[in-house]
Amino acid sequence: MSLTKSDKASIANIWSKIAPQAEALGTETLERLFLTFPQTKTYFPHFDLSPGSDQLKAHGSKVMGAIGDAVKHIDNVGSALSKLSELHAYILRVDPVNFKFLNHCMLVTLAVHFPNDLTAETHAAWDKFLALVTAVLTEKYR
Amino acid sequence: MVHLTPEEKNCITSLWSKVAVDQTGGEALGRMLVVYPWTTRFFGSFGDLSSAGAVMSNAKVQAHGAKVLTSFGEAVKHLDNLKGTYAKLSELHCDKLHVDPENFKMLGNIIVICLAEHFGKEFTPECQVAWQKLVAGVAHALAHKYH
Repeated sequence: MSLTKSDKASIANIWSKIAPQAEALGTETLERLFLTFPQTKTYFPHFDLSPGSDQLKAHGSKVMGAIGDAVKHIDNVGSALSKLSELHAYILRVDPVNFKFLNHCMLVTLAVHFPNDLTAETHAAWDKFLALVTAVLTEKYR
Repeated sequence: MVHLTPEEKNCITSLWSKVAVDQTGGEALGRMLVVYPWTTRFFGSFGDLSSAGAVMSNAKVQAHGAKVLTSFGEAVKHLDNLKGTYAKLSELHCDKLHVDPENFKMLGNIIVICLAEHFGKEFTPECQVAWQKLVAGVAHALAHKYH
């Protein structure tokens, strides 16, 4: 499943709306993730996960930052996220099923904030893009 | 049985009363066919599903989406007995329609995204939790009679 020219255009377009609010959107994505899929909290025993916590904001920012890197290097996401891929494979070892939960919560967050921009085509493009990012991050798992 | 707090039940019923069922149902089914094109395998008789534009304006998709979401209304009315409510539909989806239950989860999540789009900030994280529980409960009930 690879990104078409049209997908890349949709992704760049919605990213331009996301970028100015990246931290807030990343944080809300995580907030929704931890509330809706509480088992995902098991990966953050060392965090204060209460809404508005500094750690949650910092992490939301970090996650969105990585997404932004992937957008900027959309023709070579594997190379752009290579270090993150190793981190997830060898250190974090987050079970692959959890990426789908995160991706879903990000889509919900985008739907809440950008109802007019998340057309069916953009929704499809972004879903494909997040699946690509997931594939890169889990590539070295075994 | 879905375990919902009183606040969660309230989230569901109050939002449901404001949902344009036909429109949102068509939107949700359409999006599923666009975002996960392999799901078109179940709708060979629906005509042109070859592009996003074709899918979203397809009258059969709209009609069927409306039908699907209308049945959700039954779930909202019978939150304490989803398995009973969906028993017949479960048998139908298994024996006649041969639908992989994975698809129920996909459609459920798309319904959640459509609700988020329509209700914006009103679709709080707590509201999302309630609706995720409901769509998961419906998916589970629809798969319950599979054999």
